[in-house]
This record gives sequence, structure tokens and C-alpha cells, in this order.
Amino acid sequence: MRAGRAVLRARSAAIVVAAIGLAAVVLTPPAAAAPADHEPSIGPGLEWVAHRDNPFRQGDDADFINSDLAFTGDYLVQGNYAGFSIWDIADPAAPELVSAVSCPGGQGDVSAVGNLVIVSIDETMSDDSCQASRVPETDENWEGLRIFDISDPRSPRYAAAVRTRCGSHTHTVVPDPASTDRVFVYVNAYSRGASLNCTGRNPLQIVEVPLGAPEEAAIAGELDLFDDESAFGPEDQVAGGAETRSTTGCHDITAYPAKGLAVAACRGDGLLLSIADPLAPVVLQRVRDPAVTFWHSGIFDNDATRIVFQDELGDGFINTCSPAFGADRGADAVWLIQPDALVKAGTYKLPRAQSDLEKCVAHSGGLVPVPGRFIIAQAWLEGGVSVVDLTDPAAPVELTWFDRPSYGTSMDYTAGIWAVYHYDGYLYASDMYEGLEVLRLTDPLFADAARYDDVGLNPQTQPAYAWVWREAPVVPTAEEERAPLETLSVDPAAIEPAESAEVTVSLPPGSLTPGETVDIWWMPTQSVLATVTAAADGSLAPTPANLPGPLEPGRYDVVARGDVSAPRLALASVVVAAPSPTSSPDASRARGDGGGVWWLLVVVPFALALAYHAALAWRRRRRAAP
Amino acid sequence: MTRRARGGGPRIARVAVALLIAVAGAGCTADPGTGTAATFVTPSPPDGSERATGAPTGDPVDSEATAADVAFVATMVVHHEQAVELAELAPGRARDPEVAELAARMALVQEAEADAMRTWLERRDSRDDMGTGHDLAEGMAGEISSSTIDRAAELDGAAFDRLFVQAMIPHHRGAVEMAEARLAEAGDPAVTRWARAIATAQALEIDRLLEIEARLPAG
Repeated sequence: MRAGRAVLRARSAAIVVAAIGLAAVVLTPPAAAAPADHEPSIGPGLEWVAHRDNPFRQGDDADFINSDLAFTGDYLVQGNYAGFSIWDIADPAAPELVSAVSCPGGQGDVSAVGNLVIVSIDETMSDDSCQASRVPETDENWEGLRIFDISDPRSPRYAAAVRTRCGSHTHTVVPDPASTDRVFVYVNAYSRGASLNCTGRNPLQIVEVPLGAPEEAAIAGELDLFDDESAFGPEDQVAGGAETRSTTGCHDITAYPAKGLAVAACRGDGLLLSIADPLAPVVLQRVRDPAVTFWHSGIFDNDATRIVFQDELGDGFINTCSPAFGADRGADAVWLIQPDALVKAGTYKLPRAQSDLEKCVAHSGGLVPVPGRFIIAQAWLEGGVSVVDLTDPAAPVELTWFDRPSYGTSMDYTAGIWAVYHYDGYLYASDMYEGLEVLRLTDPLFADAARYDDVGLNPQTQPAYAWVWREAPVVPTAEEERAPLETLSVDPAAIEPAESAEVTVSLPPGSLTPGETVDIWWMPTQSVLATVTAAADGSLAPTPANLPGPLEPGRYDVVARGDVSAPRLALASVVVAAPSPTSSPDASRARGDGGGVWWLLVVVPFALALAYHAALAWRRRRRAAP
Repeated sequence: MTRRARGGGPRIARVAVALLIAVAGAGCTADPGTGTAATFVTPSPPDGSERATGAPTGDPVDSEATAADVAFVATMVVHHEQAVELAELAPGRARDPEVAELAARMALVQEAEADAMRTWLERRDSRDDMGTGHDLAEGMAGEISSSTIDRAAELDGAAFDRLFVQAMIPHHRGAVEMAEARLAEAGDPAVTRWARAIATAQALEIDRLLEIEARLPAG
């Protein structure tokens, strides 16, 4: 699923190092793109890396605003009410517009799955084409999902249009646990009363998208998430057919496939779903809260023990970030997932009061993957971006922010930052009118988040983050388990006893995931000797590593492990020759503190070891030959 | 796979013009780096498209404000003002905490929305239509009469709660009806979204009001 171009990117550790060096330089360029009265307030530990204008923008016209974001490899897909943009973010400091796909219809919620881009349309259009115009919902109309093939990102192909009952306000990609050949898409929409096609209770429609044949995408199932008591009934109508019951569908769903869970924000209700069977979601919990008006979206923590819900009070048309509205209205609410219930544990509201000329309310955001913490980056429309630590939900702490004091002219309708997400070490913020902002969290707290190698991200399909590099590899002890492991070349492979030794490690092409961050581990002390980036061909360039001593006779493991290809390992053994060639294998047991436990258990004739390493050396030389 | 850079019709032409203007006026700013207009593409419809040829069906919606837009916004201002007036009576009178909270939120939200809508009208130089709005509002669905307001001002405790709920439910239904009426007409898509948002918000509050009504002590 990783785009091939991912191989070109500078990554992780390399990025961190480079960015530190460039920090002074990058402070100024984005500012040049903004008028002086437009300068954002930027919180501590946040760097404004890049700004790009909205390519669709036409003045204050609300039909050309940006919406949500999705990521695939080095591409960022930015939804728009007029289509979507594809940005090349291989260099996050210099996003390049690859194409702006004109295909009108709001709200342009987007997902990216490999080479496919899925777009939500919930405005009633004259037809499913990219030349369609908006028509009243009481006229014949089309709304639903559009699916594009971006194999050629400069010229995306419109592969399929799937009509849905009530269009698609947002949607959520749910992988098929049984097959990587297809995904399911939950269509989040609700009825609008007097419209032609979309009245009454709107079931959750599930679209199946075969990744190899997107033109065959079709509705695969549907189910009603609400019981008769809470859901729309025939009496909930007024003259003309308008519906006065709000629980007719969901606004957004965030799936956490690794945990088999999803959180559904359904306007008046918050739901916790089991999606163990993606075609048959089951409601586990349902909550209402007098303090929460409009259940807009939700984010899990990485352990799936907590959820933060956003309350989009006023639907983005007003400023709720004022003293009048207070700290609880239009806010975030954190809920603990208990066995029998969701339990509210705290609220968070943007601490910076906004002018009533600005629109501000809790909007879309996602997890910033910091081990052991519940940190999110979230958009607050014209309130900007807020990065907040919800680890203690009773006492949330805003860590930093990005907030334009004014948008110059206040827009009539919703405006500001729609969504912000952490991807591959950077924050990407989608500003409805202004465009795209790239930000970077510089505090060391975010080192692991920055190092995390994303290969793609639909923020409403939460990945289970694992910080593999924080734990030493476990090397098997049995020869039959060691033998199949990738062989790490180490040169020299045999050394004399010494205080320390310099060796060079390398791997041939195809051994690693291109561009991934790789640690070289010295197993006797379970320490990292070097951290490098895998080359574009998946090789590991010859990398010097200093083996800490004292090196006494024995056989010691050196391991290369990539963050993405983990738990796969590449293994080498360094033999420290005994003073006498006749020394017994027992000599190699001299040192064994730390994790080098394996060799205590291995009793191999020394001759066999020698043969093994001779073979290694022979193989290495063969590879090294031009 | 047809690639029709900047060939997709008047809207694309407008995009192109806007880009040219942006490029021409970009002298004093840094290069926004958005590439050139040639990056705009309009894909062909997929195979089996529901309409592969011909002109768009239905009436194309004008992105300029229509009379229906102005009427909707102007009337909704008045409608909101009534809700705000009743809701602002709640502090000190409402007994039920949920009524009190709902009233406080309604007053804040609808006042803010009414402000935004007044600004919208002013920007479109429709001040004169404000009068029209009041005229249109005469006898509008779910209207809260001045006598209801006067009566509410005299009440407190459970009696106020009941009156509040009983007046507000039909009032909100009226707002939903007004929004739906606008949604059946052509107009600025942005106003369409606004109308939808208002219908959604008011339907949500009707849900809550009905729940409160069901558990309030009988008067």
C-alpha cells in the first residue's frame, strides 16, 4: 500500500536531524505568504513549516472551501467542496500540488486507500459527473460516494460513483479482516426530511470497494443503529414532510480496526460499536449528555480505553469560543470505556477566546502518537489548531497552538481550519479558505511520534501505533530459528579481543522497506549502535558501528531492525576469536549480562561456527563484488 | 482517463481566471507554490454513469443569493429573536436544570446565529429586506407571540418550565419547516448548508424538549 515514491523521502531520524539544522531557516518563509495582519499566533514548540494556498479558492465563495484530509504514502489528499487536491509531501517543507481535481459537491470528505481516493458527496447534484451542478434536494438528484483511481496522480481517473440513500456527509474506511483485496466504507449520513430520496430513518449503508476493481464498488449491506424508541418515527414530522427527530443517522464514525471497535458520533447520540464483523456492527454503548449538543466526531486513545468526542455546537456557523459560551459548550468531552458504560471524565475547551467575527467550535482532529499519553491535535475552525494532552481527562493541558488572530475579512459561513492530523512527523492542517498549513512539533516529547513511519493514514480509521524501536529485539536462540533470518553483513565478521571494535554493517537491496528507519542493535548490551534510513532500493548502505567492549572471545549478535519491517530482523554474528584456535565453545560464555542470553543456551561446535561465518563472509564478498 | 485541463465549463474558467489574477497579484508575496493552472483536471464520468451525456438535469443552482435566500435568512432572524427573547427569561425562572441549560444554550446560539444572519443581510445590502423579514414573519409557523412572552415573564418554577417547553417545541418545528421550504428552492448552496444546519440543530433540540416534556410534572 505504500506508494512507490515513499522511497525518496527523507525520514524519521534523518528528518529530525535535518529539521533541527534548518530550524532557523524555516521560521520565515511561510510568513511571507500571509499579510501582516494575518500572522498567526504560534505556541511553544511548534514550527510553521509551510503554507500552500487553496488552489480552488474563489474569493469568499463558500463553494470552493477545503475540507478533510487523507494520506497515502507521500501524497496528501485534501477534500474540497469543488473536488480535491493531491499534494506531494515527500518534502513536508515544500508540498507540491500534483493535481487539483475539479468535481463539485460538498463536503468532499476524503479517504485514500492505496491508489484509490474516496470522496463523500452529500449535496444533491444534478448527476454523478464532475460537470454536475447543485440542485434542490426535492428535484431529481444524485449524491453518494465518488471513487477515483490516482495511479497517475496527475490525471486521476473517475472509477466509480456509488449512489447512497442520503448521500455521504462523511465516510469511514474499514478494512476487511479476511481479505486485503477489498475494504468496506461506512457511509455516514442522515435524513433531511422533505428531500426526494432521503427521508426517515437512514440506515448505515456499507459500501464494498474491491481495490483491484473499484468500478465494482457497491452497497454490501445496511443496518439501523437506533432502536425504535430513540429513532425517528412517523410522528416526528411537520407539515410538508420536514422531520423533527434528529436521530436518523450518524455524522461521523472513527473505526479502530485493530481493537474491533468504532466510535460513532450521531448528532444527538454517541455510540460505541463493535466492528469485529465489519458488515454487522453492534452497538455496545450509547450515551447522551445534556452538555453535548451535536456529537460530531470521536477519537480513541491508542489503548482504546478512552474516547474524546467533539461537540460541534452551532455547526460551525458561530463563535462558541467566547466567555459567554463558557468552558463546556462546543467543547471536547473525554469518556472512559468501562465494561458496562461510557463514563464522562472531563472536558476541554480552546482556552483562547475568539472574536465573535470568527467561527470557532470543536472540529476534526486526530491522535498524536506519543507512547503512554493521550495527545490529540484538533481543529477549532477560526480558533486554529490546538494540541492538547488529555492523559488526565480531568485536567487537560494545551501543549501548543496555531491560531490566526483574524482572517482579514470574516466569512459569512463557516471558515478556518477544518481538520488537522499528525502524519509522519508533521501536522497537516486543512484551512477552508486559506489552504494547507504544515506544522512540526519540536518538543522532544514528540520524538517517538516524529519517528513513527506512517505509510498511509485515514484519520477516521485509527491505526494501532506501536513504537517498536523502544524495545530491544528478541533474537531466537535455536539455530533452526536463526537460520531463516535475513543475514546482516558485518565486516569484519571476525575480530581479535579488544577494548572495542569498528565494524561496518550493510544489507542488500530488497532487505528493508524503502525509506524506513533502521536501528543497529548490539545484543550483548541491548543498545543501539546506529540509527539510519533504509535506501530507496531497500538496502542498508555500509554503516559504521562501534562495538562496545571489552570484547572477549565469543560469538555476539548484531541485529538490524526497521521500524516498518519489524518484527522482521536481520542478524549477524560477530566472532571474537579466542587467543588460541583450539579454545572450546565454553570460552564464548565469558560475558553474558543483559540480553545476550541466547548464546548461553547454544552449544555449537566451534568448527561449525567457523564454517558458518566463512559462508557468511563468502556471501558478503559475493554481494560486494561489482 | 480523459484529462481536460481547465476545460470543464464556466466554473473551471472562473478558477482559471482567479488563478491568473492570483498570479498577477502575487508580486508582493512569496510563491505560494501551488503549481500552475495546468494542474486542474476534470475527470470523465465513470463507465455506467447515471448520466453520461446531455445537459445537467434539474435547475442549476445559482451561487448568488436568491430571493428565497433573502426571505429565508430575514425570516429566520425574526424567528430566532423570538426564541432568544423567551430563552432569556429562563434565568431565575426555570426550575428544571435541563430546561435552564437548554434555555441558556438556545439564547447564546440563536443570538449568535441571528447576528451572523443580520451581517449576511447587511453585506448583501438587504437592510430593506429586514422589514420584509418581519412582514414575512407575521403568522410564521410556530411563532411565539408577545402575549406568550408576557405570560412567561409572570411565571416561574414548573409553570415556567412547562410554558417554555410548550412554546418552544412548535417554535422549533416552525424553524425546521422554514428551513425545509428553503431547501426545496434554488439558491446559494452556502445558504442551503446553513438551512440544513439550522434544521438539524432545531430538530436536535426538539428531541431534548420532547424528553423534558415527558418527565416534567403535570401542571
